[in-house]
Amino acid sequence: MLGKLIKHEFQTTWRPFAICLVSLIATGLVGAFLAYIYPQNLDVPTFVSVLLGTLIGGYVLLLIAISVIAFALVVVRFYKTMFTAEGYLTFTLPVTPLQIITAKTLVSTIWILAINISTCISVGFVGLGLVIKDWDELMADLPMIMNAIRHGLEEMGAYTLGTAILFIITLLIGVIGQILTFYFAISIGQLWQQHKVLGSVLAYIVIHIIVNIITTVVSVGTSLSILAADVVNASSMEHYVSSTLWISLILNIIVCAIGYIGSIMITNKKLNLD
Amino acid sequence: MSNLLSIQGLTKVYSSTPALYNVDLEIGSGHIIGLLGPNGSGKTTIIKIICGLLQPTAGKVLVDGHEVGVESKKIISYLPDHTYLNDNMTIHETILYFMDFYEDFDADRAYAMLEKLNINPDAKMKTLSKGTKEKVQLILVMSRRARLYILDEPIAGVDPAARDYILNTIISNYDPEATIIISTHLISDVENVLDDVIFLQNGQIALHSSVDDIRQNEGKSVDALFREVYRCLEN
Repeated sequence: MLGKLIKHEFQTTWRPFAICLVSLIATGLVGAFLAYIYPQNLDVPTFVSVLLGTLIGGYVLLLIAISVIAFALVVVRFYKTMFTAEGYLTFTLPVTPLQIITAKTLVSTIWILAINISTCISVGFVGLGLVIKDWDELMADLPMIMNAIRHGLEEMGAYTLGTAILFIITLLIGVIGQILTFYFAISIGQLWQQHKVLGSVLAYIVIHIIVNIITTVVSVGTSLSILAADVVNASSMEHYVSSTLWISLILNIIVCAIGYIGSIMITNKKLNLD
Repeated sequence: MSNLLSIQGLTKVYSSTPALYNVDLEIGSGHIIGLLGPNGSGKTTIIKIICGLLQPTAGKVLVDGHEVGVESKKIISYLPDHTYLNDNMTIHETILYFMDFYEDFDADRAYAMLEKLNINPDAKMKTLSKGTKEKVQLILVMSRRARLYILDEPIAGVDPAARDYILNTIISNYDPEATIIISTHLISDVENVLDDVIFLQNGQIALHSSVDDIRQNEGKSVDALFREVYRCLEN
């Protein structure tokens, strides 16, 4: 049944997310084209500069807007299918709340990751448009640039495969944590007799504040322990980067676990559809 | 005879107001039962608890021996008292959805009923009128070969012609081994199809009897008895 829930979750959500993904890639390609034709080495009229500035501003706003819209879609979809009239169908299917929450979390995570990756690709296209005219020069300088980046990362103690993998896993768990925080807050809001949306918003704010306080306290503690060390070198920096990532990962895993188990428990034991 | 539905000491309290209080009920297979009562008598509350949409404050519900959960949901076909399907899906997509999740769903039966009513399966739910939506929902619910059908106000808010169609659909798709619980306050419309009636008043069962017994012993219709019972309770 989990597979069927996932299949239908994809079927009913793909359209708006596909529009977001296509918009990101399309604007990236347009941006790349504009960057390519922009006469970098010549004096350009003021209005062209203003136009370019407006387009860059619009592009950045679009990236932010799509990121917000993606999360809004996730939140609205969850609320609508769980706690409005559609919940009558969701909760009379012969499936468990665990399967429902798992399917929604999985599909939402995939969409949000797809949006994040597409945003990177879109920005990458624009960057490519800027450098492609000087491609040969760039290729000649590439080893030097890569070395500089590598050296910089080594100085920070971050240039290891393990750190890179840890960084990617932390980002992934962070996305799942964000989604489950929304789910948990909406589920808590349903415990209110009235004003359930307000309850959800307040629950989200409270969860967010608690998580931020804990994250800040732990991060400051780690930073102070590093600063207290006698010598700051590559080894201590690597320790700092690694510790920060691990702490972030562990905190995100705890957020995921609380959000996941909490949402399932509320829908399992406290469901009260109006 | 093992009971299809067994309810023991069922209580539901909203804030401090009891919607159901200590309800005991046993229902077997092969009946069409009217769950009757005025607005606010607890009809929808008891149905929502049986279907797993509400958690009881106290008491126990067993459906064919199973507590409310996956196993009970497999054998209950439930029609809520409002539209509950995804408006952005077509009827055909909704049928595929039901086919995927309910092993007992008979798609041929659904398409035959749609054709009979000249409803286009490719139409999106949001393009349908309220009455057509309700008919589609009833078709989907009655196209399952379930053990227990629970229909919450299936004829409220539709015109008399549609009422006839709905009642006819219920009767013509009725499996004699199954039980149908019809919740309504429009008693005279459903009286002729009922085997038994349950009167609910202020969250408690005021009467549970067969329609034949009411007619024989009381010498009156269910509708007439209903009016009498509720008048007595109100005084």
